[in-house]
Order: sequence, then C-alpha cells, then structure tokens
Amino acid sequence: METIPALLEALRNMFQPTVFLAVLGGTIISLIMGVIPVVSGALMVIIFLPFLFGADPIVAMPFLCALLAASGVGGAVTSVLTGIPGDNNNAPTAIDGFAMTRKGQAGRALGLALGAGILAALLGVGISILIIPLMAPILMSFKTVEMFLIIVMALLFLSVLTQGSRIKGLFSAVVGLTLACIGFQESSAIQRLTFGNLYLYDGIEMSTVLMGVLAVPTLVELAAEGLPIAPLGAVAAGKLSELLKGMKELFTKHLWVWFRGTVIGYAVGIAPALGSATAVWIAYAQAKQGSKKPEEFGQGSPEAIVASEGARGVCNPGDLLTTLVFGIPGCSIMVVLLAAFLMMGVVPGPTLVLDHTALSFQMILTMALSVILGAAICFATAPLLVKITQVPPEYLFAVLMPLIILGAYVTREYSLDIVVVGLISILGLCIKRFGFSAPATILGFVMGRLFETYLVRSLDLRGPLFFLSSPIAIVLTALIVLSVVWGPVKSLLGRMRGGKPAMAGGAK
Amino acid sequence: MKRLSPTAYFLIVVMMVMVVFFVTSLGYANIRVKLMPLLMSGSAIVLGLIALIQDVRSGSKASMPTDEEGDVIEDADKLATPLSAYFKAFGWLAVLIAAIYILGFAVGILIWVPVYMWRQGIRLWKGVLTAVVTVGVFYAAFTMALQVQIYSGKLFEWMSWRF
Repeated sequence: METIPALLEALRNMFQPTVFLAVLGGTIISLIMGVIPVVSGALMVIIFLPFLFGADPIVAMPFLCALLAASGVGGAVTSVLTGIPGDNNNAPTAIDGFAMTRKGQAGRALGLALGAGILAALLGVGISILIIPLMAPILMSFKTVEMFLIIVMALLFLSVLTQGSRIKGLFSAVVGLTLACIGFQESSAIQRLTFGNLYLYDGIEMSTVLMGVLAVPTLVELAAEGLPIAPLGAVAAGKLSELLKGMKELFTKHLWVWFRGTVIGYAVGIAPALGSATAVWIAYAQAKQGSKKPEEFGQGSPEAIVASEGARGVCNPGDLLTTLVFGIPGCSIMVVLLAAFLMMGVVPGPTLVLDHTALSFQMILTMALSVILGAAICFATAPLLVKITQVPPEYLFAVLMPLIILGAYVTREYSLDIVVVGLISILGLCIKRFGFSAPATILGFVMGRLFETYLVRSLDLRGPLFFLSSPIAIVLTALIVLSVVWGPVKSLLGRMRGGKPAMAGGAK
Repeated sequence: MKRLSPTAYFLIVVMMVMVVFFVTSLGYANIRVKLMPLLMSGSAIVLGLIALIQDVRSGSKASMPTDEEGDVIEDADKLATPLSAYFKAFGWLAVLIAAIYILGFAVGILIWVPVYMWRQGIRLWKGVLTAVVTVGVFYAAFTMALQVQIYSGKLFEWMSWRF
C-alpha cells in the first residue's frame, strides 16, 4: 500500500470511537498502574493478555500499545517522586529526578521529564513513519559481531557513571554479567553455577535483581534517614506553574542535550535486541561526558533527566518498528508485545508491513496519542501526585516494601524469590553505600544472556579476531578502545599540563 | 597493620564468591559453556583486586564519597547517616521477608505493618488501618482483578498438607 493513503487510513482507524476508547482506557490504566513502582509495561501487558483473547486486533493491539507507551510516562512520575523506577528504562530518572525532588524541585523535575518524554515520543513516531520504507538495508548490516560490540560499548560507557572510580563501575557491571550466568545456558541447556540447587536452574529473576539492587536500597536509605522524601516546599514545587517552568527550561537550556539523547535513543531503539533500558544509560553516560557540570549527575542533574527521558521516549516507537518490520523484539517489553501479537493471530515481519501498512502505522501512531493523553493527565494531576513526597517515610516503607516483595514474587510465583530479593538487597545496599554502580550491575545482568550468545556466535563465525571482521565492527572496536583509554589519557594530559592528579588521594 | 575499610570487606566477600564461580566453571567440559562464567568471574577477581589495592592504599578515606576528580569530600562523613541506622532499617526488611515467607502476604503484612509503624512512633490504630488497606488493595488488584494467587506462606502450606 502507498504510504500516504495508509497513513490516512491509520489516522481514520485510530479515531474510531471504539479504538479511541481502547487507547484512552489503556492510557489511564497504564498511568494508574505505572505509578506503582513495581508494575512495568511488560507486566501490564502480561496481566491484561488473558482479557484480550478473542478481541478484535484492531482494538486490542492499540490497547496494548497504549499500555506500553503510557507506562513510561507513569514510570517517570514514580521515579521522580519516590526514587523507585517504574520500569527498567526509568532508572536514570529515578536517580537524578528523585535527587531533585529531595531538593524541593519535584515540579521542575517532573516538567523536564514529561516534556522530554512527550517530545521524544512524537519525534520517534514521526521518524518511524518516515523511515519504514528505508530501514531494511541499514538494519540488515548489523549482524552478530556488531551487536556484541554494541553491548560491550554500552557496558563500558556505563562505567563512567560511577562517581570517582571507573574500576568500581566496571567491577559492578562484571558482577551483573556473572550473576546472569547462573542457571541454564540457553544454547546448550546445561546448568551452570547452580550447585545442584533446583531454584537456581531457571536463573535469578530480573525483577528480583531490579528490586534488590535499585528499589530496596532506596527505601532502606529513606527509612534509615527518617526524613520525608522532600522538604516541605516540595508541594508548592509541584504546582502546574512549576511543571511548565520545567518544560520551558527544556527548550531554553537543554534542547541540545535532549536532541543528542533522542538520537542515541532512536539508534539503539531500532537496533534489534538492545532496547530502551540500554538506550537510556548510553544517553545518560553520553550526556555526562558532554556536560559542563558532570559532578551534578547522580545528584539531581536536569541534563541527566532530559537526556534519559528523551532516549526513553523516542526509543519505544523505534523499538516497535523493529519488532513489526523484522519480528525481532528490541527488549523484554517488546518480547511480550510480540507474543501478544502472535496470540492474536497477527504475525509481525516484512509481510505485516507490506500487506497491512495501515495497521503498522496505526500502532506507531497509537503510541504518540497515548503519550500525549498520558502526559496531559499527568500535568492535570501533578499537584496531587507531588503530595506523595510529603508522606512520612514510615508509611512509605510500610506500604512499598511489601509491594516490592510482591512484585518480585508475582513474576514467576516462586516463594524463594521472596528470600532472594532480601539477599540481593544486601548486595544492592553495599553497592549504594560503598560507591559502586547499581545501574552498571543491572545492565550487566540484563544484557548477560545476549552478551554471551553474541560472543559465542561471533567466535564461531569469525574467529578470535571477529571484532575486525567488518567496517562497522572496526569503527565500533575503535570507539570501545577510545572509551577505555580516554580516561587515563585525559588524566595524564592533565598532569602534564600541571593540573591536579585525577586519582583519589587529595582532599577538599 | 592498617584496619580494612567496609568497602574492602565487601570487595573481599564478592571476590571470594567469584573465586568459587571461577573454580566451578573450570570443571565444565564444553568451552562454550564455561567461556562466559570464566571470563566474567575472572574479570571480577582482577577488577576487585585492583579496587582493593586502591582502597587499602588510600586508607581510611577509601570508603568516603569522592567528587568527580576522585578527591574525598571530607564533610560528607559528618553528614552521612550512621551505618547502624541502615542495619536497623534492613533488620525490619528481614523481619518482613521472614513474616511473608512463613505466614504469607496477607497475614505477614497484617502483623508486620502495625508493629513496624508502632515502633516508629505512629499510633497503633493507624498502623492497623494501613495494614488492612494495603492487604485489601493487594487482594482486590491481584487476586480478584488479575487472578494471581497470592502466596499463603509455608506455615499454611504445611498446615493444609498436615491436616
């Protein structure tokens, strides 16, 4: 089908009353559930799948897309207000957004996060529609070796996130990668590092690691400090005027940072099997490297929020595009969505785009509509949402801690996950307290399986020098080497110029 | 002899686990199976050793927060929350996990939430109300709406099996 008529048909379909109501319903449900820290977009799709059997795909598929798209918006609100990421891809926002909330700048942080997310989603949808006919040859050039090198690059970039020590950042990532080795190896079905324990055969569950390394330490810290999330001024900071100020700041001060974040987000989004969880951290690390105030990252940096939310917002349409065009999901959320499509009799792949172009456009446009609706609702209710920050920490600890444990349990309903989340929390607390990098550990764990698959395949296909096997691989290898040597070279140059030494030892 | 910092103890424990992983991985016959765990646990040991040496060499300042240039922020030590407060908060989490594991979500939360809140200086009735509302929301959302069976605890599993 021709592009323009297909686009018009998609728009017509999207504003049919039943479809629009499905999108609105999906958005509202997603916002309400997405504000709950443990409920991710993927979990919501899984939860609602049983209710959608037998439903018309024209209505059911936009509903699922709306669930996914608005979960990021709700997740951003949770991340900023409570410091607990609503989803993997809100983790950077949880760090810097929450730090701003604690400084009494909740409204500003929300305005920045929502503004960056909406604009990025709209940009992502626009680009996706434009490049559907053009993207096949580009994506096909990214094969196993290139995918492996992209993952290595993401992990290395993350090491710069650790305050003061790259070694600690790399150590954190490697610990995450090692934890991912526990359980059955997918290609050989041989169990590893399980020590005969049946529970470990399936490996450690992602939600357990996410809760233990990110969510629990945040709440334990809150309880240990015994102070409200934000100072008393935070409620005033949540006024609509503060949100609008945050949005205005995005345009006046951080547009370039946002743009770079979206470029990274979209590039990672359309690359198969990487996903938004990787995109947001690359964008975060890149923003930090290019920032004039890198010391603010992790302490409440507006640039960090803008870059990561921009990458997250733009990533989903790109990710959905890859899933639709090639049937290759970009992340765990898209894996669930792909499964949902197949269960409804819709088979993603080139034929879907060629034979049902209007439906493909409709799903991508639905994401934009859902994000706009979600953001409008969030803006309208933000003053209420910001009041969450005035809740005493005892109440938060008492209510959210059981919810976190429940979140770790419901994913696969193993009773031992309840205990394991506690054990991983010890690791998470040590990581947080002793200056290691929690995001690096999580990314290492998330990418562990893919890292191994691509590494083994690359060695099989191209031999030990696989990283020099194609022009793209050589460029990526050069970037990796540069990111490794850049830090030491920079500090050496600084010392030669008579600057202060970069290693720890001096004191302020 | 220098006293080791908490960071050093943490690194030593993690490295010990990594050594166990490394030695275990050596026992796998297939190179494809052992490549990744060997590579990762080996890297963790090497990186951990470097971090440990850096930590020991920088002495008591090693565990203090540092700025972007790696310099220790002296005031941070005075401002930081004492470690005992973390242990206390984590202790409450451990009790919650034990309560849920043994008594299940409903009973565990109904007991833990009021006790925790009461010990924090909040009136008992508020704690009881919070617990009831929390369990009610969990039941409505997960059991009724989403048809997810909420864990009932080892004690009740044992009782239903025994009687």
